Amino acid sequence: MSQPTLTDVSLNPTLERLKQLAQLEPDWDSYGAEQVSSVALVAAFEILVTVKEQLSNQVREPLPSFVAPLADGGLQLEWSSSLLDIEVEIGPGGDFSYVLIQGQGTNRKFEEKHQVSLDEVLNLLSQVLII
Amino acid sequence: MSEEIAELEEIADNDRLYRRLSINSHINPKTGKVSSAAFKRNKKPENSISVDLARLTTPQETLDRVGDRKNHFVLGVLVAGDARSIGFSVRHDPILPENPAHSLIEGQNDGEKCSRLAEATTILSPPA
Repeated sequence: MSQPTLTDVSLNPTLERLKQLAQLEPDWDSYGAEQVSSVALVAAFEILVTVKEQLSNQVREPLPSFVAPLADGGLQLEWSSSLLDIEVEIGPGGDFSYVLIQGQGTNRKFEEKHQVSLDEVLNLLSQVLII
Repeated sequence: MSEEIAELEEIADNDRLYRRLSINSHINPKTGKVSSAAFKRNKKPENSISVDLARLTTPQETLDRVGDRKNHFVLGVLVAGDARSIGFSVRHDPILPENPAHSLIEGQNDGEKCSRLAEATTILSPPA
């Protein structure tokens, strides 16, 4: 069976998740977390739509496996494969960072970069998620 | 008005620490694992992660602190030594009278450390 391409994949589940996170109240984590900022939500939407438009027919698992809110009002988009994990962090002001995790268990290697551009995030996703 | 002064506990490496985890926000439903997002930066102050020292409280007490919202949370359990081996310090920081078990995991934080903290966290199953 061939892998679904981005043209087959609906963003709806992930967009529903973003909508859900947009409704979180302050202190949603019980430790004083901020509400998710509208800037972070828009930036997450932009990543999702751009991944769908620019990486169609190339990417193995186009949608993040999980989207988590961050205590400072940002968001974290997580992609996973058998070989690596990617965490793209969107700050409350819309800035991007990522953590790339390769390997398993005690052999895991981490690569981390802060204040990166959207293009750099998309380039990373295209390299590591590609079929 | 008198102030209660708590005796500070020494936290041993084998001491267990409780942290509330939002079921909807911190647990990946596909894997059942704790997301590193559960330990990422807050502003109060930066790089301080609130936990409860397990031997000074109970799982139910830690959950009950959020009142009606407790059904939205599960309890994550960390061992103090694991947090220290990742590069954090762990200290008792009682908040009286509300939470004498309150403690802090502190230190310079980054994505790798958050990922390692998440991996070191087990989810305490609720009683049957």
